[in-house]
Amino acid sequence: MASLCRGFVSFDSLFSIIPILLIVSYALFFSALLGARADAGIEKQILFDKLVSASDYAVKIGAAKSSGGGFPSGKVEPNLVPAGVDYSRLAGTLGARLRINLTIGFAEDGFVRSGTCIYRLVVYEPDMNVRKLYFCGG
Amino acid sequence: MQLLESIISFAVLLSLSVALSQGTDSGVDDSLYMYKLMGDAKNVIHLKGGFADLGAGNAAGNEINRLTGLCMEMGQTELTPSLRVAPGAASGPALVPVLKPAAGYANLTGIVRDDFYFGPCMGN
Repeated sequence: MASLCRGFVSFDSLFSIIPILLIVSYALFFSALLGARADAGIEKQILFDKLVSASDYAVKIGAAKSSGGGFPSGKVEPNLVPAGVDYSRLAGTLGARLRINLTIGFAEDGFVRSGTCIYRLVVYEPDMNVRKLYFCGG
Repeated sequence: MQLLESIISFAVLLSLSVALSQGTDSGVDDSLYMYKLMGDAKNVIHLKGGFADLGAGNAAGNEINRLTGLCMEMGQTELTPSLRVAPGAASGPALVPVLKPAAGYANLTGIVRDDFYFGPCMGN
């Protein structure tokens, strides 16, 4: 009789432990998934903020029209972009500083957008048209 | 009975995990970017002579709207029915800027540089 009781206890434990193990393993897997998703979201936000910072420097100083000598006496026109700006060089410098793979260009000039992209509004000096200057990073 | 308990527990856990996974799927915070774009819009309007000539300002605003799909509103004012009382000053009706997101176009009715809406288009 005592051995029969022990058998029932063993079966009882078995049927309790298996679901508990399954639930615990699922909970662990799901928490890891949530953590990975949060990390990806943070990385995406950081990249976006870096693009905003890089674009802000570019439209206000890096690619903006300057006249009257160099810094600090020179006058800079924010959001006014002259012709002949070397965007690949500017993207290389800013990308190296911010540790991202940055590309900059106008859609009108055949710029191919890839990765996360934002645009800034500028006036293109040669024709004084409003244009979207794209900043893409990854 | 234990099988039933485990099924119920698993179902509860599953629904909880689905609810949690939907809650964490938040997008990128672009408030700083939109603020910068608003500055761009102001600078572009300035460069196009829009602060000296409202016609040029509206033309620039509509050009920006065509490019971005975003709307802007600036400088609309209304007379408040209430009285604005400053310490030591006489009370009287006050003109306050009222910004209503423009529906699909730029609506620059005056020069109030600090009160400027630039963002998604909405109905008036």
